[in-house]
Amino acid sequence: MAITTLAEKITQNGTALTFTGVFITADTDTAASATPIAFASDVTSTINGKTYTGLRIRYIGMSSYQQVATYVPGGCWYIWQQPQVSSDAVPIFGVQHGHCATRDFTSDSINEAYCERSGSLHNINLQYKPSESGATANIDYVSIFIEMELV
Amino acid sequence: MAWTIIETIDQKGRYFVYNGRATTNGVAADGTLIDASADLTHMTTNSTINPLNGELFSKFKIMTISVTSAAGLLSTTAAISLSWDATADVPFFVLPKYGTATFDFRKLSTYGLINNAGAGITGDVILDVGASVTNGDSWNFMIEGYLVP
Repeated sequence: MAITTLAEKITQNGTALTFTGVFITADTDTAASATPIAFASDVTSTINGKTYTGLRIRYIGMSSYQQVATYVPGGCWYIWQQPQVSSDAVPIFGVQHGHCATRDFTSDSINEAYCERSGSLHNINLQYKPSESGATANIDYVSIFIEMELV
Repeated sequence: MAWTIIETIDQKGRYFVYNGRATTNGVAADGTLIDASADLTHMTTNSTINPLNGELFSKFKIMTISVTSAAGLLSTTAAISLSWDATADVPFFVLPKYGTATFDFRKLSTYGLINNAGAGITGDVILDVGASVTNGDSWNFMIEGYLVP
């Protein structure tokens, strides 16, 4: 089951990137994934002659709503980062369906706590973890706000 | 009337703070949360021309949204989005079903959410509803914004 994009926009100003998007999955029983930010095609990675190879996340906000007649626990939206040379994506942040949350990574006490992983990360993935067994398929929505910088 | 909205807006120059509660009555129809031409001064769409230092504005950025949900646990409401009003509305914020949060869009390098609506843009923020709503679902808002050309 695919994730459908209702709206999305990437604004890049030098090494700063802002992403906003609204997404939907029509079947909360099934895992789904999408790549809202594909580094190779969505990002200008050479700025003033300097080439950047990764994205560092500075801020994430997510807000979700599930259309549900019978509540079933589980079901989460996650943001992952996709390493350049490995198939193992790195989970960064998420919200359970229907919930909302924000995270300011720039307030972390050490720079390493930014969501940078060796500077080789490229794509930003969106994944939907399905609801627990026995769920009735519902529609789930999420809006996402991500501030990033090239590294 | 699909929505009951209790609201107040304080504006000083280009900056404003919106406080309000929007409650559905079970009728699946869009509502207007912020009516730019009626609720804000110094707008080009406002019938009373009132420039600010000689300048008029056509839309606004949103710096923060604080939202609290009072939707029912088993509500069958389809998702309701805050959308930029236009010929084709542009959704930007899915109202959460549970909880409270403050989104600080000043953290974005755009210093706020940009109204990127296209043809037919009005500057308004609307409550964009889906196929169904549940009577009594409501959300409380505190929204900070500032006018831009």
